[in-house]
Amino acid sequence: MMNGLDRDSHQNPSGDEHQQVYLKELLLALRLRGVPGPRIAEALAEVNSHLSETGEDPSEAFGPAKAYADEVVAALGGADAGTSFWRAALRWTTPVYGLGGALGAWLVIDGARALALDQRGVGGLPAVVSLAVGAAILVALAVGLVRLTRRREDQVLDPRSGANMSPLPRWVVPLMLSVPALILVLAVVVSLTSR
Amino acid sequence: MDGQQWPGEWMRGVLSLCVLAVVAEEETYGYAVAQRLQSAGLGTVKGGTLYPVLTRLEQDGLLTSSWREGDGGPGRKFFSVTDAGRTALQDRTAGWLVFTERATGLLTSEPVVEGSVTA
Repeated sequence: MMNGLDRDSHQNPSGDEHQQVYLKELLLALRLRGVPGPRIAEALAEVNSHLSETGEDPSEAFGPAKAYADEVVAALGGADAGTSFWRAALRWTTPVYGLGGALGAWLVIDGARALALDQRGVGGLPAVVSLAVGAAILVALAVGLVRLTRRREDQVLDPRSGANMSPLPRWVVPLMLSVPALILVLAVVVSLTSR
Repeated sequence: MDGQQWPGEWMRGVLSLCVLAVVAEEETYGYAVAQRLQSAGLGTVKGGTLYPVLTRLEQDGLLTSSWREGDGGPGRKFFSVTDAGRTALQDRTAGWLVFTERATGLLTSEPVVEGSVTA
């Protein structure tokens, strides 16, 4: 129709890959700036839609991802820009999770050790009670953490298809579960063998 | 004049108003707005500049948007003007005309001859 903008890089085979990398960078940059999930999704969909139509190079059309994220935040203004990653990370819940996790792990380790050695646990509690309370705390914290990261209103869902634009990679959940489990097992083994 | 790029500071001053005017002409989407601006002789406006302007106009309640299926390609985000947007467009256009007239008057006025300035 009108004198078109540059369309000729459309056939570039690495263009799609370029775009995926750029969108990932932009997603992360917007997350770190505390932009709410739906707003991030809008921005990503706009970039994707524009690039698919024009075949332009992402950095050429939108500039570096971080700089563009700053533009988006500025355009959204104060109200919708959200809180920054660090402010969100430093809420009162953070020490609760940290201390709670330490307490739970300690109760589990001590309970397991006491159970294995047929002794009483912390404060003269039966070993099984210590183990159960510790495990309950850890499970509660794990559930809380998972809910926190899966908050519905903060998901990045494509406004066009409803698809999740930042799904967790498959290996994340096993890794998140296996690392603390491994530490726990090691701690129990160490505490048992070091006596 | 078609391929001409204008100084960034000029574009920053007038882009938001022009984008509002383009959307007020008819419901349209980002890339089409860029094409319309280019065909109007305002030069190439990159996506990185255009979409934040659209976002800001929407945040200010002058535009609304909705996603529609594209023909084959990914969906497009269509923008349309609100009543507040039309009012703002009229007011700002009137203001802009006065502003550019005055600037033009100043720029094209006869050089001031020394001693001829009246108090």
